[in-house]
Amino acid sequence: MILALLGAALAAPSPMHPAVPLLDLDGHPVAVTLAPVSTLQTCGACHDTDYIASHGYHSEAGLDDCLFERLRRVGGTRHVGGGPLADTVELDCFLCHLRDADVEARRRTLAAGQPAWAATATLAQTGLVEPAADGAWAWRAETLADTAAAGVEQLPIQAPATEACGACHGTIWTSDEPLQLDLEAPCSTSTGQVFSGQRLSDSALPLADKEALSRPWDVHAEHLLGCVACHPSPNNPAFFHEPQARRPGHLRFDGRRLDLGEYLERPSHDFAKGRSLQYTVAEDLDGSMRRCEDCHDASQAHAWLPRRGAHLRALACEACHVPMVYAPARESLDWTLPAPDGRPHQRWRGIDGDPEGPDTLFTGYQPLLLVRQDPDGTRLFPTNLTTTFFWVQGDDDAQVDPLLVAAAAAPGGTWAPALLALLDQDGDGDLAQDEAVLGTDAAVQWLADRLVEAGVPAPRIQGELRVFGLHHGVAEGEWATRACSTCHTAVESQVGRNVELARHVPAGASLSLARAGAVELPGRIERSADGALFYLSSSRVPGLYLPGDGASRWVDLLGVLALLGTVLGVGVHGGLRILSRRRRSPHPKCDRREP
Amino acid sequence: MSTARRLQLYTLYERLWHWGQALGILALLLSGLAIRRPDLLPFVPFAAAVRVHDLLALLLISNAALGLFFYVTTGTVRQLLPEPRDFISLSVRQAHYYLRGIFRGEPHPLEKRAEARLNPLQRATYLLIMNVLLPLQVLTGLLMWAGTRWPWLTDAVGGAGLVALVHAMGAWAFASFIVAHAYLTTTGHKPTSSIKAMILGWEELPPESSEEIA
Repeated sequence: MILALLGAALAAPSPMHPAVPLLDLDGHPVAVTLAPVSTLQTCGACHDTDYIASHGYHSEAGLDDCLFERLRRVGGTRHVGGGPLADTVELDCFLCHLRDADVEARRRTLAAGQPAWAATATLAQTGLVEPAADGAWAWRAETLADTAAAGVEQLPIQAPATEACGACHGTIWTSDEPLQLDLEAPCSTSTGQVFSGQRLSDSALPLADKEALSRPWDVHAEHLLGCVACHPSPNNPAFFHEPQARRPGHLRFDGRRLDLGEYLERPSHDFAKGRSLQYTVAEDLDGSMRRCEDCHDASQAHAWLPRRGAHLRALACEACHVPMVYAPARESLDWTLPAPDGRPHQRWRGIDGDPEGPDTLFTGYQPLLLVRQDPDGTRLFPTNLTTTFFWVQGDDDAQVDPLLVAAAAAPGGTWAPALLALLDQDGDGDLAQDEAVLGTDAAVQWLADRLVEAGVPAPRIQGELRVFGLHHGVAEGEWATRACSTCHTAVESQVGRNVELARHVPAGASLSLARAGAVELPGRIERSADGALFYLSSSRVPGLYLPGDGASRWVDLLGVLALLGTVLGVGVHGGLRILSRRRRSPHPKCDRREP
Repeated sequence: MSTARRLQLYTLYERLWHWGQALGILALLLSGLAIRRPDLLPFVPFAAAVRVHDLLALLLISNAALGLFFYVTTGTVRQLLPEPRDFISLSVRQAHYYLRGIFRGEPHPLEKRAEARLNPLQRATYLLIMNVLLPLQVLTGLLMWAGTRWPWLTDAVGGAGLVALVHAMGAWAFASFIVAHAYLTTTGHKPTSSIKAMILGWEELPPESSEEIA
């Protein structure tokens, strides 16, 4: 069976791409040297890889000040290589351009400390390589025979498919099989967004009221649009989209294009992007992607909408067209007391029950609408708010490695007895989900002392509030928000309501707002009586007037006082009139007849 | 024995105009409340409240414009303007009556006439209502309506939120005025005299004459 699968894989070369001789870092065929493949050398034979490497912000993304060692240890191996890590991990073209790229094998290889073999590991599904000792890889010599000059014909090189983006950016499901969800998958758990044309009711997920959910996860995916439709390469002649701001005013259309050959030689990898709230990468490209209005004419489809112009100005399309997120999304992530294996404690939004339990129900969640100040206006758009708590050290608030924290709390893989004495409330010798929280000053101090002993200077706990925008999981009009009361109410509206940020908060943790781009957070953060952390949202943002939101209640208070004062005044006056009239006339009835 | 006199005070048009405005203002207050605080009137659909409010406002403005035309062309508008002569002293006498004389059964200090139906305090109040409060409500309401199409209009005057704030304050002032106005109609010759007059056109006045309204 394995041979059959292998044969199938080998029998599926790229229909377009020519055979490629795989080259090592020195430009020699790996068929001869059996060294790790170099994508820059291999692909660079035809493509301008220097240009590509210098025009691809993915190399900068997700790094911040982290270096490879930290990425490897905390599992943050979504980095594509290159950029600041170019000397350690080469930019891996195969990740996106190879059908069935083995992302997991690459991750394992990086985690094993074999960055030189990372790109080679991506070829694991091609049958060209096999695992070797110490996390490295070895070429299967028989598959490379005669390829030194002629190239490897069976290499399934392709234009990047939507699934390639999904390997890092979230759940993308194009299979006919019922959709499944990996709660450990990166990124999509931050928001719960799923990009798939499959109907929710056909998925394998335990969705509440599932039979009624006949809408697709994303209407654009249902209509066979892929990621590049909105996030194309800026010099791709097929998708070229020049922002109006950059186009001379007298030109409606600029017909200049690269021809296909020029583009394939030097394709820019600075893909069109929106205005990300969390990341600081490639800000010069902010707003370069195709937005809804670049393809849709909202005025043609919203005749039913009162005050249409005002709504279209005040609301991002997603505000109504991402009315619910059905997959679970992260609510909080607590690294302050990770599990012995270094994993953080997570709490989910949109789940009823234990996420890993058999009777879990995915209830989904209604996104909170926040105001975003963009160059083209102030708009409400849907968000998910998440909190993260972690240890920092020193004067520069550098994060403490979670594995170090785990080792301090659970040396040898079991919780320290002193910590159990502080937190193990049911006395079962283990820390359940609700117990594994540094909820007391004593527990925080105990672990801080252990971290100091481990060489961590001045450890302390910090928290971050992050805002994630929701732009996928788009519903068509039938499923979009239509009820005015969703926003136009003073009670629990989608704009002004309380959002739980964390069920448990480590003692003494301070919470700050992480970079949130142009998002306004006009509400306030409060703790409930049981210690949970809430964001009390408010619609009172400059530039936004939302009728019905109950804003400026002092006016109503004054108005009610004026009205009651008037009623009281006329009541007293009228009462005195009646009393005085009775006093003046012993026979009121007669008096009424003869005024 | 003296008998009460009857005096025709209001034409049919004036009465229809008055009740049209009264109903319009009441409906505007209710629909406005449904827009401003939909949680207090959950049985009123928000979109319907907005549409009704818009429509009523249009009717009320139209009626106000027709009324203005009528009052100006017939000269009745003079009844709404306080006479500078003796205004202060007559106002003091009228206030004194409301605060003291009315409890002693004293006659109205100023007698109504067909060509002078309003006492000085009424004239001053209606002058404020017609020239300040109503135009303010119309202006802020129009601004909010137009601001949904041309936001620069509301932005130019501090934003839609501020305009809505002023509009709400005006609405509360109108609500308070209506309560006081309805009560003061009971201070006529009989408690129902003024109401009847605004329905039938004729008001019953006391037989003995007090000083005529200037």
